[in-house]
Amino acid sequence: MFKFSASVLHKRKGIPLLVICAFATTFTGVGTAQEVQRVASLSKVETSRAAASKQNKYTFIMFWKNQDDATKAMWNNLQQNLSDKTDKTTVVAVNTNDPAEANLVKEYGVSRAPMPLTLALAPNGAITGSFVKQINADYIDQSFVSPAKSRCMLTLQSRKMVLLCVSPAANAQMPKGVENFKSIPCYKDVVEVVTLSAGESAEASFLKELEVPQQNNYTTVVFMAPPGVMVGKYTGSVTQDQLIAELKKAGKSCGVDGCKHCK
Amino acid sequence: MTMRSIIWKELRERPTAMIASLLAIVLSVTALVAIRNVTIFSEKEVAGKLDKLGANVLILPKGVTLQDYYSADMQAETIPEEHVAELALSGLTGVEAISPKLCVPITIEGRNVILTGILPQAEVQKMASWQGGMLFKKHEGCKAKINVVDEKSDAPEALAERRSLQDLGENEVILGSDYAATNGLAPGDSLELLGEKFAVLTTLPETGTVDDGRVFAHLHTVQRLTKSGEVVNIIEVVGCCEDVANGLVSKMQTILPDTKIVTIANVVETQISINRMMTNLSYLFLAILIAVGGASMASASFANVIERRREIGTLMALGATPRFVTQLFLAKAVLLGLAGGLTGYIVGSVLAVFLGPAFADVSVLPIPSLALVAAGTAVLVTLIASYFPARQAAKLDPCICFKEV
Repeated sequence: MFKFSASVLHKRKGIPLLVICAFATTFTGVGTAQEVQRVASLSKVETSRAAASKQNKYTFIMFWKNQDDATKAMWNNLQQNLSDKTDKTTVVAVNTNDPAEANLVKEYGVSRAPMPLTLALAPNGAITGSFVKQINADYIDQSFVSPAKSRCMLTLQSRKMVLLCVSPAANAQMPKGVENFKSIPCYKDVVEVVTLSAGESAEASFLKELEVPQQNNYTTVVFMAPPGVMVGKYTGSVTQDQLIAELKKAGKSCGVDGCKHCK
Repeated sequence: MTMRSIIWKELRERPTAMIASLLAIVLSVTALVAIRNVTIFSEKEVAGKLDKLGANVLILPKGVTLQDYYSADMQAETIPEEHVAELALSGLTGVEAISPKLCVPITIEGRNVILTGILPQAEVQKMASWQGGMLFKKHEGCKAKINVVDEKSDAPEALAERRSLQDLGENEVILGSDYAATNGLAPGDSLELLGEKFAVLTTLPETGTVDDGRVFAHLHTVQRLTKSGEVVNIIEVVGCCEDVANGLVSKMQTILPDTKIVTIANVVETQISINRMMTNLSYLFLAILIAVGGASMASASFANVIERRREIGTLMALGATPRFVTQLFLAKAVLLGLAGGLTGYIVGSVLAVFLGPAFADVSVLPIPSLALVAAGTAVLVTLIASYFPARQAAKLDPCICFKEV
C-alpha cells in the first residue's frame, strides 16, 4: 500500500505536494495551538461571551461591586425578563473586584462606573444598551436590535463613520457617490459602508427609526458619524462632494472650535 | 478773499477762543476713545480666555468656590470619579466632552510640582457611544458633535488647546513647557515620579498659564500613586452652548445633586458686568462732555458772531449772501470738529495703550475704526452747536451793523 502510494505520488510529482501539505498541517497546528492558548487564557465571562457570540446570542453582563439591594434587584430583573429568551441570550455577572475578570473590566472601562451596571452586547460585540442601577423589561427589549443596526453601532463605537445604503432590492449596486467617498484616502479607513435591502423584514423597525420608507424606488443613503450623529440622509443620487460638505458642516458644530456664536 | 482764507484768518487771530472750543471737544472724544478702547480689548481678552479654557461647564464639589478653581484647580474637597461615568452614560444631549481632573501637589527632586491626573477622552467617549438612542438624531446646528478618528485632534499636543486628551497610557506623562525646559526633558525621555518610572509622551507648547509648570499623568495612576482614592477635584465639561442655555445644566444637576455646577457664563459674568459698566460710563462721559463741549462751542460761536458783527456786516454789504455767511460758520465748526475729534482719538488711544495694562490688566492697541467714530461725533456736535449762531449771523442786517459802528 505504502509502496503503491509512494510510487503514485512520485509518478504524479506528488512529493512537492506532500511537502506543502506537511507545511500546511504544521502551520494550521500552530494556529490551532495559538487559538487554544487564547481561549484558555479567557476568563469565565469572556468565554461565555465568545460562546454566545458564536451561537448568535446576546450577552447581558451585569457588573457589580457590592451585593446591595440595587445589585440584587437588577440581577433578579435580568433573570426574570430573560428567562424566556434563553435561546437568544446569555446572562453573566461580573464582580469588578475579581482579578480573574480584570481584563474584561478594563476592556469596557467600567472600573469607576456607578454600580450595578448592565451592558447588553449584540452577537457582533456592539453594545446595544447600558443600564445604570436599574433595569426593566422595556429597557431589556430595547437592547435587541436588528443586524444592520448592531453593525452600525459597532462601527460607530469604533469611532468610524457609517454610510448605510438602503436599496429597494437585494444585490443593488452601491451608489457612485458612496463608492467615491469610500475611496478618498483620508476617509477610506474611517468609514464603513453597510448595505441592506429595504424589504428585509428584520430591519423594518430600524428603517422606521431612520424614517426610511420600505417602499422606495431609489436607494437611500444614511450618513452617520460617531458617537451616533446622523449627519445626513439622501434619497436617490448622492455625490461625494455632498457627503464631504455635510461632514465638514457637522465637524464645525460645537466644542472648542465651534460655538463661537454663543460667546 | 475765499471762504478758506477767511476761516484761517479768523482762527489765527483768535486762538484763545479756538483752543477753548477745541479743548472741550478733545476732552470728550479722548474719554470716549480711551474707555471704548479698553473695553473692546477687555472683551477680547475674556473671549480669548474662554477659548483657552475650552470647557464651558464646571462641576465642582459643593463647598468649593470659583476662586479655588482658578488658583490652580486645587482644593481639598473632591467628588467621586463615578460622576464622570454617570454623566457619560446619562445620554444627555449637548455634552460633548467630559474631562475630570485631580491635582495633587508633590515634590520631585526638591521642587514643588502640581501632578495633574487626567482621564483620556477615549475612556469617556466609549461610554457615551453606548447610547444607541443618539444614533438617529439629525445633526442640527450645535446639537451634537461628531467624533471621528483624527490624527491631529488625537495627538497629545492637543491637550494644550483642547484641555482634553484622546489617549494616555498609565505609564506615560505629559509635561508643561516650563517643567520640561527646567528639567531638560524631551519626548521619549523617562521621568521618575513617586517611585515609578514614566515615559514622557510629549511636552506642551507654552500657554502662559499654570499648565506650563504641571506634570500630567493618567488619572488612575495619580489616584494610585497619591493614594487619593477614586476621586477628582473637578469635572470640566464642554457643553453645546445652545443646550447649556436651554436647561442642560439643570439636567446635569438632577443627575449629580451633590455637586456644584457652574457655567462659564457665571464665571465671566463679573467681567462682563465690569465691561458693561465701563461702556455705560463711557457713554455717560460722552454725554456730559458733549453737553459741556457743545454748550462751550455754542457760547463761543454766539460770542464770535456778536464780536464780528462789523465784519459780517461788511461782508454782506460787499455782496456775501446769508447762505455764504452760514456756510462760513459751519465750515469753521467742521474744521474744529475734525481737529478736535482726531486729536481726541490720538490722545485717547495713547491713554488707553498706557492705562489698559495698568488698570484693566489687558494689552491695548489703537483701533483705527474709532477714529471715524471720534471725528464723526465731534463734527456732529460742533455743527449742531454752531448752527444757531450761524443762522443768527446770516440774519444780520448790514445797515444796522454799520449804524452800530
